[in-house]
Amino acid sequence: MSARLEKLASEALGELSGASSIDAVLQLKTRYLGRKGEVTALLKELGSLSPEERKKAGEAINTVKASLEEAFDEKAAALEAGGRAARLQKERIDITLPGRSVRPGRMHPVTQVMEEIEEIFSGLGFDVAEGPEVELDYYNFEALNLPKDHPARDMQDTFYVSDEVLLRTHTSPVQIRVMEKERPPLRVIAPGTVYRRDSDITHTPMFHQVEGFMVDKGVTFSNLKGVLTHFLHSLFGDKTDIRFRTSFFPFTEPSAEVDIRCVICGGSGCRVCKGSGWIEILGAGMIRPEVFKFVKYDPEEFTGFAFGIGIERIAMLKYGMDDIRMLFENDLRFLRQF
Amino acid sequence: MLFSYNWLKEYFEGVCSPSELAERFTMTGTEIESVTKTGANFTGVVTAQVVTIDKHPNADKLSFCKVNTGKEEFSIVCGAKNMKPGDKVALALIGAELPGDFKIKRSKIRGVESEGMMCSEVELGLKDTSEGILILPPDTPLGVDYSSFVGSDFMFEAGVTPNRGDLLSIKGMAREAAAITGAVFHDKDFPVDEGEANVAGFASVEIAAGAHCRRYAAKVVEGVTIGPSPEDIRQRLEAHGIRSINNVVDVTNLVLLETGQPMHAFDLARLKGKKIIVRQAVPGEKIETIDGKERALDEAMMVIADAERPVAIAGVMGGKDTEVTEATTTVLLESAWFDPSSVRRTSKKLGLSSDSSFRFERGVDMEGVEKALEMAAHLINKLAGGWVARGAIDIYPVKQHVNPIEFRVKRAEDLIGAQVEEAGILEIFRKLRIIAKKSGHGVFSATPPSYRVDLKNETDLVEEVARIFGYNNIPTTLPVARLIPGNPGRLSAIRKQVKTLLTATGFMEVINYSFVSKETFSVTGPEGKKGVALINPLTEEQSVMRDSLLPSLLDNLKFNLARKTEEVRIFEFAPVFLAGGKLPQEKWKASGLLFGQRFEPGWSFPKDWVDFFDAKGVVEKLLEKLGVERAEFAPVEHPLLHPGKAAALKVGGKAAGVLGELHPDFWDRYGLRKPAYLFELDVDSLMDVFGKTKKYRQLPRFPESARDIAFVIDEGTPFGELLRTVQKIDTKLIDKVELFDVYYGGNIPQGRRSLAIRVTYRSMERTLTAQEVEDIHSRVVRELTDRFKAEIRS
Ligand SMILES: [Zn+2]
Repeated sequence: MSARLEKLASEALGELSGASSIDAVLQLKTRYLGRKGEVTALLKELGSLSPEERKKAGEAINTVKASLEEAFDEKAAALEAGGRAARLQKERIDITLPGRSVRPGRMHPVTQVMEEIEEIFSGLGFDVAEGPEVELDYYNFEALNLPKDHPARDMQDTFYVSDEVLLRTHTSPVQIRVMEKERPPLRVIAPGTVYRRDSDITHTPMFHQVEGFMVDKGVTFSNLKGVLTHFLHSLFGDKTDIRFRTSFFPFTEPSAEVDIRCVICGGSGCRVCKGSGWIEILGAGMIRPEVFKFVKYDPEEFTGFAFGIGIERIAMLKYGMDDIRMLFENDLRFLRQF
Repeated sequence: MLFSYNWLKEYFEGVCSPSELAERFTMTGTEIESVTKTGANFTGVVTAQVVTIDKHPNADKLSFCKVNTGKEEFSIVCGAKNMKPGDKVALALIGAELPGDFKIKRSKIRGVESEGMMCSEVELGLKDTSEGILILPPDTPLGVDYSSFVGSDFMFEAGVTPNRGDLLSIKGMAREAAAITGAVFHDKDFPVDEGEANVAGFASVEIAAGAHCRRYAAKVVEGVTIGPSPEDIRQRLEAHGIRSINNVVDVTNLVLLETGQPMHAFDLARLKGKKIIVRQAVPGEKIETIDGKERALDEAMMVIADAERPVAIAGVMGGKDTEVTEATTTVLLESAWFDPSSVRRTSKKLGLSSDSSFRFERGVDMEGVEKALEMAAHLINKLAGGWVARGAIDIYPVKQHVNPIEFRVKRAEDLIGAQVEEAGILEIFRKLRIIAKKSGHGVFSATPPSYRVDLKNETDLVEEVARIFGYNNIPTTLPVARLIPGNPGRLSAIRKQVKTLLTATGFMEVINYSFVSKETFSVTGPEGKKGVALINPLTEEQSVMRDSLLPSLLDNLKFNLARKTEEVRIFEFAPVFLAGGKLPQEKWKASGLLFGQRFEPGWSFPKDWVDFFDAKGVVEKLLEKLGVERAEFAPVEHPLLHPGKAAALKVGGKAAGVLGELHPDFWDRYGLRKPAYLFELDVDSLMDVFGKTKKYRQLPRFPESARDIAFVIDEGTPFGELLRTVQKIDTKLIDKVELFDVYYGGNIPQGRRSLAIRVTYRSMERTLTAQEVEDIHSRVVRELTDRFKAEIRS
């Protein structure tokens, strides 16, 4: 009996090693271990043995049965794993093909800079105001202390629609329009499009500015320095050197031109800063009492500062551009870069 | 303005180096744009004398010279013709280095050896043009390094702001330099050796009523000899951008440069009646100015006239007929003060600007008139000889009175935000020659010098204090203010939303000029419309303010297609301008253009071309984002759009924009071979509904029941109409109506189309019974068949 058992086991293992599919393994399993299987048949023969022999043979058969069962299952598991691996192998894709998505557009670099500036001032509590681009001479010049026949008008070459109507040359008229309607305290920025009769590599007849002003009791030139220093540090980095130098604008006094250390050469002098090491970034000053009188504020009660920032200039510095006209050609290959 | 450092130094003791001076000027309000070293920029050039000049044996145009330096004789081949034996010249020897990296080497020119070069001023870098070689004065010593004759200087280029007319002169710059550096300023004296004859015997001056002239002074010099000015004066003028004319005219220009007082010299013999009358021109009068142009005058212009006619345009330019020429023997020198606005108006009207008008417009020192006149007489006497008539005519009816300004130390400190203190302020005033008298506690009565015409009030003085104190010495402090966040305003808020959504949908933002050509303006019709046109455009291409953004977007499309960018989705957010009213109406528009494939061309997208519904989809998404709940689209006629593929948008019953396919008539204009789609939305109309607070709606608690219907219907029946009709059958029980198929052709007859819709029925209050659903569904079907003549397919 034990000899037959041994033979049967080695036959089964031999056949199992030749099996190449899970089906074949299951068939073998049924043939040997099924209810009508060959190993099961041996168990049925136990009845003809003495109780002692029966016990011994029974144990032997069960041991073989268990080890065969294990072998069959192992083989089946191995075959199954191999099959899944093959299937996954077949499902492999070329992950280096480009991804599929809707390519988002971009905002114009001028808008991006403008929004960055708006955000910085919004954080300082400045409201946003806007005004017309086709403007009255009164708001663009007169009320800003620039009477007709004043040579300072030469600083801004103007497009005219009629004697009294023009394309605003700066966003400063919004200052007057806001102050006419509201009383201090005021903290306002006015972003917008402005126009000057000028066209070359650093000038376009249309460009953008952000005007800003603050009017309250006790506002000082020192505060102007504080706010603009905060602004320039936010925009260009905390370590940017800044200098304030005297300048002239008809609607502010004292007036200042604000420079930052050249971002291209770091101050040693280059083409962008014309060798000076400094780059002019904005104009500012304390609002003149004359301007306050136009809007019926008492200059003894209120003081304020105003500033104007050219957006294109900042965009050009930020992105290292040397021809401002690129900004208005709207070449999509250019606009995609920002 | 250009000025020479050496000339400036004639007015000082102890001024700092050119670069330090430039820095001080820049920081205190006069930006120095450049400092250029001038003068000798060469080595190895010595003075020498031409001994002989012979013809070059092999070249007609060249000569062969012997040139002696006093120690040695050299053979020189030369191309110039302007020298003769005995002339003193500047000789560059072998090894000399000339500007532009030009080294002189031993060389053979057409077979003849040359041992150096006789130089022209151009070759020495002294001038931009010259004729022939430089001939030196006969008394020049020989064998001396020529660079020692040339000397060196620094030319400053200053950006003088329009308020500082007082800086438009050497003297003015010197006064300023003294104030900002602490150097000591010395004025110059010009003693005049006057003759016996009194000036009154030579000429008379009258200022007529109404003339904008507050002072007119004149001196006469008789017996002058007109000729060229000495070299140093010519060079000085030329270095400052003024061409040398003759000794008398050069003196007037020299005085203008040095003192800032414009001067004019008349040939007294040509003044009719020996009279000067300052008056307004009479309409119809004309004058030929010294530039040879005839100018028509009118009563707004001030002129200098003699007994009969205008002889100069006051403060702008003199007349040709009375100018100083070689024949002149007696000159009348004018030194006057003309009203800035009057000079500016005249100059603008004539389109004629001069060094003189530029200074008068910015304010000339009324008190400097006489001194300038003396300087001119002194120099003319020196350069042109003659006799200066005794005394001066000086018509100065109302002497200028500079009003003292009340200056409060506290006000200054409050504006500046720094402790400058009384002593500091007084020291600054002293440097600026502002006379300050204490008039109360912390209050001064301050009188600026007469030339500082820009200092009129307390704030002007505060700026003076601040700039001399130094902006960089003022502390940097943040203001104290209420802690209130900024309010972006509605336009800024909607703009941000529109831009964010459109860029997220794949659109690139463009920014175009607001002005277009008349032709582009006319594209959007109607014919003959009135636009907002510029009086003085830079070019015709930029002459009218646009009334639509669409033509600009189409130009952008054309531009990009020409550069092989064939997928174009762009938008612009900007105002358009409509004529009418004192100011034109400005309407903000959000406009876009789609062209190219629906999906980005790639390896795995279907290659479909965009169509109307892509554009409409973008508009719908945008409206949804802005919070528009109901939008209506209706067919519309628009000059730019395909008549069968154009829609007008209404929001809240108001027109809010258009969208559609570009009219095929425009394909050629923009170089298209496939359709482009456009939309233009009216931001103001959207603003009314934008930003409303959203209200929560309860989620449905009862089940829905959906039924599909497919039917065939006339092609001309708009789906939108059908949709509204079905929705209205029962607004409570019909939850949704969705279109899920549109089909033409096949077994569908010509002129008809097949539509398939899914209607979802639901009540918010209970579960609908099968019978209820059946009832309402049959009403829907009936409506379709009865009203729209639909043929139900399933
Ligand atoms: Zn630089």
